[in-house]
Amino acid sequence: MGTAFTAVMAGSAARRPTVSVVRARPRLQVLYGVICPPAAALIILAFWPMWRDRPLLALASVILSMALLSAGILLLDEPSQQGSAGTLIGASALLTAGWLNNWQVGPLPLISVPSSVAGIMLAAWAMYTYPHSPNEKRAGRRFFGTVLGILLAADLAAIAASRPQAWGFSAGAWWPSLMPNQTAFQVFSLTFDLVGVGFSVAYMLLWLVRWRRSRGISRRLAKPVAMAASVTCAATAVELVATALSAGPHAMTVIFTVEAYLQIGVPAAFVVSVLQRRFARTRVADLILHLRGPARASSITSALRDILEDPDLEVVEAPWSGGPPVAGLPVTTTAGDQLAVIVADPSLSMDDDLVRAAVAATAFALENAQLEAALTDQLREVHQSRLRIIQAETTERRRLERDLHDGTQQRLVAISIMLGAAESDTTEEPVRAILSRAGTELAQVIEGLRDLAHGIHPGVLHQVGLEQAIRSMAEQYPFPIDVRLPAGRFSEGAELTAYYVIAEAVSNAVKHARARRITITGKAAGGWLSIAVTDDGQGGARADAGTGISGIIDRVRAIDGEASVDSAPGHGTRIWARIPCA
Amino acid sequence: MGANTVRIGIAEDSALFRDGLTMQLGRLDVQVMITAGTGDELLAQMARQPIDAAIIDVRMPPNFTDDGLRTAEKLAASHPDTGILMLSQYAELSYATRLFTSGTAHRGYLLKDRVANAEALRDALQRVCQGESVVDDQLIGRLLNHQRHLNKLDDLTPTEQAVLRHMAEGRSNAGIATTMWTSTKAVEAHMTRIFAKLEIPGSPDDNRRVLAVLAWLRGT
Repeated sequence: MGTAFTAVMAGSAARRPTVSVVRARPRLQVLYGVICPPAAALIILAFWPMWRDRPLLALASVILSMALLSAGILLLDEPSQQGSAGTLIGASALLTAGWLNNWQVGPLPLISVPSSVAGIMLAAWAMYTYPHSPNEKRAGRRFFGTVLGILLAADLAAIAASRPQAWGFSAGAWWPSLMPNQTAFQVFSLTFDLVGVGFSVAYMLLWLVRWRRSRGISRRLAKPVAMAASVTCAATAVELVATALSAGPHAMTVIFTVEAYLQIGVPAAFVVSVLQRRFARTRVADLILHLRGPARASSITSALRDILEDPDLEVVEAPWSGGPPVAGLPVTTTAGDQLAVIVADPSLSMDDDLVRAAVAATAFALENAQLEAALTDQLREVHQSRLRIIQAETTERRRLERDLHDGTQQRLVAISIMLGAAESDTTEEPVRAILSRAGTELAQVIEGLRDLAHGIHPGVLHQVGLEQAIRSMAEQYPFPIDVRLPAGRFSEGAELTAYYVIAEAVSNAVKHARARRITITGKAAGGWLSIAVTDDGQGGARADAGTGISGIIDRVRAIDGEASVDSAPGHGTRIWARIPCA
Repeated sequence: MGANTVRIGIAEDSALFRDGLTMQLGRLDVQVMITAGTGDELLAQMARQPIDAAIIDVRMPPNFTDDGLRTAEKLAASHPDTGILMLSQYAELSYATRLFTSGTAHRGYLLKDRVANAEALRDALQRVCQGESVVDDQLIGRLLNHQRHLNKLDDLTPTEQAVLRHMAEGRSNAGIATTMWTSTKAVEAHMTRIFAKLEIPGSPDDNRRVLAVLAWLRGT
């Protein structure tokens, strides 16, 4: 079923440039404002003489002409309905011209005769081709053209074979009576009426076929126009039969009046259909936008089935190997990558505005879902890689500290013992002085190295816990550091992160902020360890990239915690972190 | 130490440090009976070879965490009269606190590099053998200098301050009296006043007072 449909869509895709040109047209209100007042003036002028003797018919005709014009302008704003719009506006003009015979002067009665026929045929064509069916259009155009040709020829022949009085016009009307002949006139008139009735029947049959072929939303959207077409067609047939049977002028006025009122249903049907169509398009966009959860082929399928009233519709999502598994409407990203195909009932091709809305909405939803998934993946990857970096750094620091502790520091202490032994063994005073000096220097080196190793990684943290380790760290400083941390144990990562945050904050307070008092507080609740380091220093600490503070903030965020620095110049510094510790 | 030469066991994984320590101990006229690379090795050898004191590194194989502390706890349970001298690379008073939790007698805690000072090492070994406690005097000095305590410590006389320091280092009343050239009675009087002035919970006579004083100094 997809093949014909795809071909149809290829056709409509080729029309796209037209659509983009149409976008540049003036706004609908402007069109109404510019076209309607002069048109209304012309139409009222055309029907002016009718108001006196046949006011009901005049009213109906004025309404019909204006309504057709308005419906035409409304259609101008619809995607790919510019053809129908033009046809309706043309029908409005011709049907108005068809009543110019009200003015029994000059060529006006003569103009009215073919205008009337052409107007009705145009209206019939507009209904038949709405919303549009390119496949049927070609054959239909030939049929409609032929019928219109025959009708016009019959009319012209009847005109040539008659005087204006035969049509009920005044003798003064301009009239090309080439060879007046009563019999010929009657033959031509009858031919016209019979062809007209025949066309009416054929037109209704065409509608019947089309009705039977349509399904779902296409049928529902075609319904108002189909009903209007049937009613007006029947009315026209009645009018033609009455004319052929030479009904009296009074009867004809009644028939014309009823017919005119029924014909108002045509523009009304177009308006109703346009509104239904717009509503359906809105629903397409709306339902896709309100899909629950991430857009999947299945959820889009069920949404589109519901809106497009096509229970067999299927959205088949990419990727597939070697082309899509079924023929259908291609749904692509803005970059042109295949996202999916939509397999739908071919009858939907009548409503390609809806189909295009469905394709666009599907593309939007799927591409959005893809982008979202890609973004989520990327974020997760970035997050994991940050965590890996932090973990690698921690491992490296631990290794470095252990190497220092187990190797260098032990050796230096051993050397220190030897120096001490040598110092006490020697009797030579100069040597003893040198050894003593070396021992003192070495003691300082050992102490410096111990601080360095402890700064690289707090080896005791794992044994004594955060509170004790921070307390020991605080004891290294010769000024008050208030430690109020929970005494419990937390996960190794949480303790290490908290330790680094506090150590960095304290070091920052001592080295840069010239703080005289530091308070370290902490609280554990609900799987989170919250810590804060507050000092009374000069403030102005910044978490710029590359600083120690930015390093610890990164570290906290890497394990899904939060951290911030509050350090207005002159108001001390408060470094705060919230670390998952479960 | 004289006639009764002190017998020492060492548990230390670094060969170089072990050798240095053995050399230092040899110069102190003590006898190194056991040199072990791990705590378990020390305990195993102690079954055959009695010792008077063990010098144990905190961080050793197999875990390189607090293995030495665990060895000390086992040793204290099986040989309550054997002196234990813990050595730690880092000044971590909570190690000392943990070591003293199950009893303070015969136990000591020293920074590793203090063993380079022969006098300090001799003094510490002597004290743990005699049943006293030992806390590295550098650590105590740093705690006392911690400004948090300065206001309160100002209330103490210089003599009381010295007594407090010796208490924190784990010395016995007699030890303090000897060091300060005064009588045990006078030391006890100082202690009572210190405990009252500083509002240290516990009793100055309690053999666990080193823990109380350390806790006060650490502000816990």
